[in-house]
Amino acid sequence: MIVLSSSERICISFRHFKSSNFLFLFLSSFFLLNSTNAEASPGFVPLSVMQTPVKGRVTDKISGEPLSGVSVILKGTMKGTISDASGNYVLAAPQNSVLQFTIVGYGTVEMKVTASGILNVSLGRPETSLNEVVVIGYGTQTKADVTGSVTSVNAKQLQDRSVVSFSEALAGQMAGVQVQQTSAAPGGGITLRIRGTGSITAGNTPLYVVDGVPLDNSVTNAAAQGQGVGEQSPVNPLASINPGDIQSIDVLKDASATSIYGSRGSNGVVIITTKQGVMGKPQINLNVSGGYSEIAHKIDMMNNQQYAQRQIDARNINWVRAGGNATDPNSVRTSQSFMIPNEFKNASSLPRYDWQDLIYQKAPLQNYQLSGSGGTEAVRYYLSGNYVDQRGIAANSGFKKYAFRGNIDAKVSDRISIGFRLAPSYTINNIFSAGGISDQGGTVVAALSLPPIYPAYNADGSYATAYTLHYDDGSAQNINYYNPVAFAKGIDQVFKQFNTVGSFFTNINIVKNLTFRTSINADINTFSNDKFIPSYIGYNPSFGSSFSSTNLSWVNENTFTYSNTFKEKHNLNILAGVTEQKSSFTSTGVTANKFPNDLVHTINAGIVNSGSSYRSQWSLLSLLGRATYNYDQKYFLTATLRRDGSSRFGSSNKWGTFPSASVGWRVSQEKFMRDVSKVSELKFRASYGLIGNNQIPDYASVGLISSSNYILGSGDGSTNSGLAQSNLSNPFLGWEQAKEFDFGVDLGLFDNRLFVTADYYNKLTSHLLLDVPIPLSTGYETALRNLGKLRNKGFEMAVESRNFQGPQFTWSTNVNVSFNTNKVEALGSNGSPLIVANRAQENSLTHITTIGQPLGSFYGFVYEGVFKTQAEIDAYPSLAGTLPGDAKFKDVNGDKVLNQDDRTIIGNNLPNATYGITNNFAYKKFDLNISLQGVSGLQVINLLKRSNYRNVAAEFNNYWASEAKPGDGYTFQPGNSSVNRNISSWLVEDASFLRIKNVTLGYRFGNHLFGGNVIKNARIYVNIQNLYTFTKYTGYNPDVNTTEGDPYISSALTPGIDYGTYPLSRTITFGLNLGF
Amino acid sequence: MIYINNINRIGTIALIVALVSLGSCKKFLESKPISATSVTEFYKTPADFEQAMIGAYSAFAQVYQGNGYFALLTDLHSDNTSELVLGGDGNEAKMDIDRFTITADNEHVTAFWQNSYTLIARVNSILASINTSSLAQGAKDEYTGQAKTLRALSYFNMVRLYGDVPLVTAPVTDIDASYKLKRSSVEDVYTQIIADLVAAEPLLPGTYDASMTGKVTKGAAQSLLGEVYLTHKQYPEAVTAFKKVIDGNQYALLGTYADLYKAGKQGNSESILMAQYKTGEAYLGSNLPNHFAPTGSEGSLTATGGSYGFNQPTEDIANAYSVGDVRRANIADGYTNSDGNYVPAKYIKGYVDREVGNGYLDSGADWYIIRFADILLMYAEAINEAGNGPTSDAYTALNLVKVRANLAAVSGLTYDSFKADVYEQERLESPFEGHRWFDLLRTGKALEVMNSKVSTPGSGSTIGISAAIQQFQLLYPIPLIVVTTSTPAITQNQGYN
Repeated sequence: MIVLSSSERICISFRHFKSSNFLFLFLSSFFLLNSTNAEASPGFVPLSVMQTPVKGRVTDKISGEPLSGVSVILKGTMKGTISDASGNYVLAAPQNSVLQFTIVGYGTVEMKVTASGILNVSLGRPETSLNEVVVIGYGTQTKADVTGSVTSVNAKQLQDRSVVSFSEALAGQMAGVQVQQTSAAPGGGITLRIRGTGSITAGNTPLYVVDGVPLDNSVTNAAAQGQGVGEQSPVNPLASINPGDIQSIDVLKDASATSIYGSRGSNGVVIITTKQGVMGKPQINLNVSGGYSEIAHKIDMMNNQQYAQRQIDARNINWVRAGGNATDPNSVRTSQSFMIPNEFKNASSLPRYDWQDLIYQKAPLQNYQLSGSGGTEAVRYYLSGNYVDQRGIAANSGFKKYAFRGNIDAKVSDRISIGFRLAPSYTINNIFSAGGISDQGGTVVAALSLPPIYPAYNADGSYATAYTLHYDDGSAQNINYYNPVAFAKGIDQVFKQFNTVGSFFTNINIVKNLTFRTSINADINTFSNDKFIPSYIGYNPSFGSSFSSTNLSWVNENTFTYSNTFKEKHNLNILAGVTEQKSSFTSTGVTANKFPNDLVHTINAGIVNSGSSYRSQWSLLSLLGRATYNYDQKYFLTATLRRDGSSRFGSSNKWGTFPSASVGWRVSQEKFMRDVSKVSELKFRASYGLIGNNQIPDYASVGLISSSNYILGSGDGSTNSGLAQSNLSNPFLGWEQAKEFDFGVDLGLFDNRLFVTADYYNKLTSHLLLDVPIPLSTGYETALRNLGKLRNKGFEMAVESRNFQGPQFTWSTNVNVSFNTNKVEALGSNGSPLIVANRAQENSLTHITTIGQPLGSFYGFVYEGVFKTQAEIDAYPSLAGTLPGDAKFKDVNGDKVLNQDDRTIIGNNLPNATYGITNNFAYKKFDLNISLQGVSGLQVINLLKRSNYRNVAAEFNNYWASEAKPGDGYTFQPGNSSVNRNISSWLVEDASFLRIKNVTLGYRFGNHLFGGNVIKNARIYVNIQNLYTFTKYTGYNPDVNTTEGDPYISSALTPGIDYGTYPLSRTITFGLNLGF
Repeated sequence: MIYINNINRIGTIALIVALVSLGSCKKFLESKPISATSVTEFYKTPADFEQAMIGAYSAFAQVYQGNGYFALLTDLHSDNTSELVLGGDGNEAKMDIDRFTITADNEHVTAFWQNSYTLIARVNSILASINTSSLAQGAKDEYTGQAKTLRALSYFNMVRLYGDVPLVTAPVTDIDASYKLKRSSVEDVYTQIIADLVAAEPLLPGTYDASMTGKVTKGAAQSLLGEVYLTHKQYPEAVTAFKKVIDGNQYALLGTYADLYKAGKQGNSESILMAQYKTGEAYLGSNLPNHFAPTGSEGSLTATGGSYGFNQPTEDIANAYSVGDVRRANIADGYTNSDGNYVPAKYIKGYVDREVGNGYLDSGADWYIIRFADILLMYAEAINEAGNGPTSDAYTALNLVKVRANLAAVSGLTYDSFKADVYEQERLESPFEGHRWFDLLRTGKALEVMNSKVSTPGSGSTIGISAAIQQFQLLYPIPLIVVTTSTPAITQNQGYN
């Protein structure tokens, strides 16, 4: 280490530090560290000389209980301390100076230091969240000062529940934030959309920032995790975070708030801040909970009798269509497919197998969280460990998590503090293939289509895969089927993730009001995905695959913050910084087959038949700046600028600039409002800015050559390696640009007992990164181009109300509601619609994206019931081959001909409104929380209903069987007909729902437990997740998308498909919180 | 104050560092692909071209196998095979092809179009860069010949299935312009096909090293040219082309018909062009056994990988053989299932009896595109048409095929009776190799033959259609996605709107 005397000149050459300048910055902090020693040198007057010690106790205003972890800061300086577990603090401060008392979840209070040197403070639960500290990019603000649109959930709202995952914590809690749990499997993926779907191809995941570390979004896709379509949505990187460690979640929504993240800001930013250590005696918390999950909603399938009757009717109908007569005996019928098997004649006497019961189970759950925090003035720590074991309700599925965290903060000197965050976690997912094509292991699809008469097991205990039907002429018919029980229990797929987010940072108070912060951060993910398919699975038997990947992303961020108040009324804060980030991804995959037996599941047991490896990287270099100014807490102004250079974009288009500005007017601070006593707070906000989206593959601008082999040679030949171009190049490829306008109002009434935040926004995304279909005659299906415009606009509102606040009973309600509309305004080069095939089922064309309509609408015929008679067919246009009992589709264009031109938009999966209502009640020591989550005005295309030939849901019982038995006039006949298989509104269902998402009832023991010596506080609770869902949707879960994470088609183009999904579970847990 | 000065200085340094880091940004932001070559660095060395050529063959393999598209579009559509699904749980997209109820979004119709153009794009890229490359003339010729033959083969398939198609003969550089590309007339497409084959034929070698067996030979180009001329009714030219194949003495019929479909038969003396597959190689096997085995036969006929019954012989083709014809043995009438019961279900032994390796898509079952027997028969047909009657060469060619099949040689036939005999042999010799539908189109008999076999399902005929087909149904629809992407440049075939 170089020790410099204060008078020495510093001369450093930085030529050598070009590529590793963060090291250099690091060095600079060491210089600083040493130079600050100069403080003690002669001639330097220590600031503390004129100071007197101030001490006191911080308590909760209502309960009177001590508050620990309150930050006590000498106003205008970096000097400060934190209250200990008993709420006590000591701080040296000059007389007449002002101390600021701040803690998340409470209001900030400022008090003048008095001569007595004793300053006891009681902090109120915030009158509103107005004085709450919110985390914005690269800094914090009190909510009253915020001019952008930011919404927050804090620890208080999370801690009283047994929350296993991040997604549960967020669903229905924030206006403008839609959390869709696309796979209800434990540890399964979520989609989180902030203010609608803003992109078609380039990903709609927000940027996640954990303790200042922007996470690499590219690991969230299925390909990076080695997952196939329908296996499970890719796991969210945040599944590995222990929700118990979260201090606050702040979501930045508008351009003013997100433009500090530039080319990654357009989908919004989710900032997660974890807990910090508290000075004082060690505080240990233990949270233990356990319970079980069960399927929330089973689908009522046809029973033996209903199934057999439907099959008999189907065979009769087919025979009639072939020219026969329904009353003909088997002997007249010319093919087995027209004959009635003996089994169907008295099916109710056959054994009945409920395939759903065979693959779903009651599943236990346990969750342990232990945390300890404490520290001295110099060093504070927060340490925690978390173990979760959640079995899945589907056989052989489950999730285990081991998560640890160490957060250390140390004060090196009055001017320098350093900190360290390290959060390693390990998760193990046993994966259950729920969706996709049944032949390939779509277990749910198979379970929801197999006839109840087929057995799961043979007499010898092996899995049954064939059923024989017998006919009265003595012939038999063998039917092979894929057994979902064998799939669920036999296929062994384990996905493991090791994740570490680590961060080291130092804050240096260079001069009064000027702070420099530098940090080095790493986000490391390793995934492994091992699959084994045993010999008795007909599809791809004795097959094994092993995939592993590593993603390392490092970030170096350096910022200066200048903050000052001039003439008491001019408050100025300026931020400037430079950051660089680089991310490297490596994967290898091996497959093997011909395993000699089913005992050893690892690749070495089989014969390796293919291998692959892949490496890629991207880098981002940025300059950022922000200035905020307010005059007397009345008039606010924020301007932000970020310049990003990204390696992902084409050689001709590397750099982009993202500016934004916002203004605020706190009307309630004006003199003329003083007399309006009912209005306690009124603020208007407006912002406008430009933000970007860079979520495209690393080398998308480059035409790539990839492997493409062929067998040559006489006899059996051998593999010859070949190459072929796999995509077209585009040197002009750049980011998507979003221009967003936001206007918001914050209104507090009756001493802020009722607080309303409302925002209107209008966001136009242009230069859409669009994988546009290009003519197949080019030899390629799609090309990635910057084409198209998409507008999201909407209104969102959050209301906090303290309905009742007595000494014994309190009742508060939070309501949020968001309305968003999404419209495509330009598309492709000639504006022609994108009609895309879903890859879940038979590649049928199911979705259209066209100008003037929302993204990814369902596309097909309008179903108008059944043609009951030939006369009805003659009277209305119909598709060729339509016979009585077949679907009637609407002649949409009225040309008296029914053809492909009559296909139209038949719904979409974008909700008109999403809302959440949370009620909190407290009566003496009891507390009750009820949270509702609702989504309305959207549809799901239920492709399960298209599998017509085997068993179907009982709701189809009233089908057309003959002209004499026309059924309900809505359900078509059960026989063969290609007409009925057309994609139509028959498959589209209303997927609005209102869910009782969470109910928690708790009881808090007083200090009397063990005399308060050992256990300081204790609480027991019972918690029910997903108690009930009110919906008309007939599938497992209206909150579904089977194709989420599909590496080949953007899920934004094919939202809302249900072709087998992991069913939603209802989870009941009992828990105990103990504080030592 | 000194302290402050120091601090300021360090602050300045930090700022300078920030600026320095921007100075190096250009390098920091450069990111070349690590695991793949970029197209700008390809098509340079001889090895590049060899690998690009293999890449083209890889696309060629997809055209004939992929999801079984070619067999479905040609044989399933015809009177030779049908999707004979028991219990009605068939695959609708395939049934639609069988029953002539095809809609424009049929996945196989779409995939075939796409696979064909993928092959065309790959050969176009080779052709565009080979002349400016530094390759030796011999190598240039060989690759040019192979590439042009493959392109001609693709367009020949497409023009017969879809009619007018967009003619692309160079790599696409202007995407915007590609949306405006119209369909070229059938005549223009034939002109291009013939030009490519005429140019390719002299450039190609007669044979390759045994390890390269499967590449396009001179004989393949001549055979294809002959078939194109025959289809285009240029009979004397067809005769000349076929005669070159025969006189080249590279090919001969195998002694035993059944040997054609056994394992290890790549490069046999009868094979002129074949799409080759292999078991045990990931993504390089075929799915023919699984696709063609009758439903319910998994565990009996195919060990694993499913049995789908997409392409099973009709009663009509089975009954068309006369007693003693050895080729009838390629059609099995049924099988004994795992319970020991006999199940009547016709299937093509030559494909179904092949290994299924590790289940689906892992069989070595190959697909003949042209074999010598086809050339003999088409030669006979061409001579008969050109000269309005058979010659001794024509009889020789026809009888070679008939005698191997254990049928009596013929002689003394008229133009009409010779023609009828050749047509019959063309059907019986290679009923499941993708020729039947094209033969019906070429001979102008598609409507007549198909509509003569219309009957309601269950009455004995199983060719798939229950109503007479119409003229427009001789072409497939243009895939819906093609029409929607390129509206208004691309219009749908009449009858499919």
